[in-house]
Amino acid sequence: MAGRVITITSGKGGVGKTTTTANLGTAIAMHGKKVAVLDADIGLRNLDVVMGLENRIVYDIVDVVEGRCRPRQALIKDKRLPELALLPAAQTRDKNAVSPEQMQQLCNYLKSEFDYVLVDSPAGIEQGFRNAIAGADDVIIVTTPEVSAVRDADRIIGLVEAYGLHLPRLILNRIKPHMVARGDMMSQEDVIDILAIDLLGIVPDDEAIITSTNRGEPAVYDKSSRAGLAYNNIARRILGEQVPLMDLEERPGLMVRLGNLFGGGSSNRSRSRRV
Amino acid sequence: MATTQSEAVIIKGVRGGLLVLLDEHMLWNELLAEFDQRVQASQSFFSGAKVTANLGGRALGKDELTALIEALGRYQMTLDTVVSTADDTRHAASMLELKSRAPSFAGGAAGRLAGAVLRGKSDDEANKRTAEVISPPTEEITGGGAMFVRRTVRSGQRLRHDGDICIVGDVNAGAEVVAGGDVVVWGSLRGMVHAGASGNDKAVICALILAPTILRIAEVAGRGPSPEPYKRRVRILGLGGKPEAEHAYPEIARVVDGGIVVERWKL
Repeated sequence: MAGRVITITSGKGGVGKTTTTANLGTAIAMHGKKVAVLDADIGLRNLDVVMGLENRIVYDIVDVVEGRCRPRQALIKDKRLPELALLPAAQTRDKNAVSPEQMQQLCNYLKSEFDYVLVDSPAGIEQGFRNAIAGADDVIIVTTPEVSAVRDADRIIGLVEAYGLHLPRLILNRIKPHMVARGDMMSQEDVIDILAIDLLGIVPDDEAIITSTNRGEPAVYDKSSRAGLAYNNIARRILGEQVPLMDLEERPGLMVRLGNLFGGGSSNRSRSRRV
Repeated sequence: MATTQSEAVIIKGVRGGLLVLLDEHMLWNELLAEFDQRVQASQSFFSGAKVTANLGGRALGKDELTALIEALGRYQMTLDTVVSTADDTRHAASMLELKSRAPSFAGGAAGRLAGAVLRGKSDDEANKRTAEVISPPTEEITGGGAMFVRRTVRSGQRLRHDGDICIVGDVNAGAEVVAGGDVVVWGSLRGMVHAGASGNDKAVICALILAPTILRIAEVAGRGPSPEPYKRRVRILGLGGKPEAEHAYPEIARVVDGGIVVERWKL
């Protein structure tokens, strides 16, 4: 099997890399593909918690690269989805416990066993990031519509290019359509205009995400979650389907109109800068 | 010190340092080994020198240039400027924060020197020449040695070039562009640009959308006097991403009476 390694990264912390990895991994597996998700955030492991697999960790990534176990032993199969497996990070070590070469070898092994390998990158541009990117075929950048997050995403895109990888694709996370309509939040056009990369999808801000990550149950299981639906759409795009952007994603117009109806925000309309 | 024992490596003393001419056809590793051998013979002589390396048309990546820097470092020499006709090499140099330029003085003695290496044979007349001729007048640099970049210059990236810089793409906030001559951005300029960095206050900065964090021309820095400070501010901070519609026209920044003035760029 010749799978693809997709690294999910952002530069800035707290924009939703881990949540994105968990949801995309789950969603792709729900479409019947074999998926491994790999937590490259050694020392600050989270992916297992978000996926509800924390209590099943026996071995971790450092055990694998240091030869204390075989990769197969460290991979945790998700009981809800037989196609999905997690390779957890070590919690008691740090980023330097693994080298980019070891990471590359590990990715090559996983590629031979799985259709998709999703690597959850740590924040920052240091060793942890270099590890996460070492075995990547594709890179997905996650950002929120904030100036600081977009700035960091821009920096990361530059670094990814310098590694000789092709241009990454973008997931714009936690967008609040009503704030965009008011002109208080950058719109998807604004972000794309700055970053000049292809948009893979937009995930609306959704409180249900917090509940779902706390419960260890990715939002894509919840058919009523808008964020879950957005992640599922992104997963289908990764699988090569043509999926149009969600209504909410495409035109905040509907929400604006609703907002105007109920909130009397008629003055907002004149401030809209879109041409 | 420069002898004709090898034609692949020519070392000349120039004002302010050494000029190293490296053959463009020989395998890079062999060339580095050859260079090593040459310098070893009289290492104390070369120690501490600032080096300008002329690499001809050879296309080098960051790693290969780094190898050259290391080779020089072994003899306490530092690579100061990279001269190459290859864009890739100059780009790699700018990624490593080195000065770089095209050989813009092909008509001069230095050009003949470089030519000798490029043709792979030594030129006695050229070998007799010394350093003084190597520093070409500024207008020649800006004339022939423009750097052309066709991509988005992103946060954390830095372009440095002695001549003009032309960028087809955006210069994002957090990026730095430093040029000896003019800077033209065929796109949005949101980052830091320094034109005329070697003191040329006639240099200009043009962009389709001029919304920089900082502009500098020669010694003058700062924002141009703005008729609409609020909208300017919004644009400078990049909060809105796109500028207000009425601002979406090309602008040019130049030094007038010791301050930077921004006006509509009439093409």
